[in-house]
Amino acid sequence: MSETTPEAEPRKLAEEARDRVRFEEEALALADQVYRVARRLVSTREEAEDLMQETYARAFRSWRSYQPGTNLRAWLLRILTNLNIDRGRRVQRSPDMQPLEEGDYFLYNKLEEAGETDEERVDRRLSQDDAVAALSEVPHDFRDVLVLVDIGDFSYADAAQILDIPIGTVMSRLHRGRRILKRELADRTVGSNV
Amino acid sequence: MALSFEADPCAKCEEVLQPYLDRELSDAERAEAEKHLDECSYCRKRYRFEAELRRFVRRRP
Repeated sequence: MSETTPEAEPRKLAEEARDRVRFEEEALALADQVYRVARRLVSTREEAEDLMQETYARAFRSWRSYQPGTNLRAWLLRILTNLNIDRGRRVQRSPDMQPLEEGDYFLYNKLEEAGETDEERVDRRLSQDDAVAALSEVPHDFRDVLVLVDIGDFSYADAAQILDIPIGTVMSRLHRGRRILKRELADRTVGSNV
Repeated sequence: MALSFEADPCAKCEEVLQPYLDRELSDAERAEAEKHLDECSYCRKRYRFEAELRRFVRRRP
């Protein structure tokens, strides 16, 4: 025999509507932070805005699968990074095949050779366009990790969870991604004249 | 072979600098790195540059 009273169903619907509104408010409050990551994952503002729109559309559709009390920002960014992968933005070349001789201090050394030794004046030689262009040259596997940790300020463990990869892979991709980024920044700022 | 602050402090510092900036070192490792950064101007200059570069890349375009 059913235990459901005539009042139970409307009450359940009202609770669900309240939960949904709360979820949407919390998700929208994170939009700035999510956009910051999106903007660094893709090359143009338009692509970032599209990616945001798709992310929030999917999040609002799947809101029931979010577990209240867990990390909502990580949940949203997992959707974002998966959508970015689905959208076929992966570059064709195989990044692991490229030899990479440069060390961690590669960019510092290049700027020093060029006579720019003031370590607190990075932006004297680098523009934000340089940063966006250099990041867009970092292969996606590496860029996804780099953006989550360096820009999203996620821990290695959170990035591993969001991207569904082992933490060791996060660390190795981060290591390599940063070196590629520095090489690209060096190409844009110092060029081949040093 | 793993580097150590005793055997080759500047090479070890280079190895841990990024995880240090990521706040992923243990308390003991962080203390060792900070001690070396206090003492070594070569590594300190590079640390400041790397920290500034991180802030620069983070800035919203």
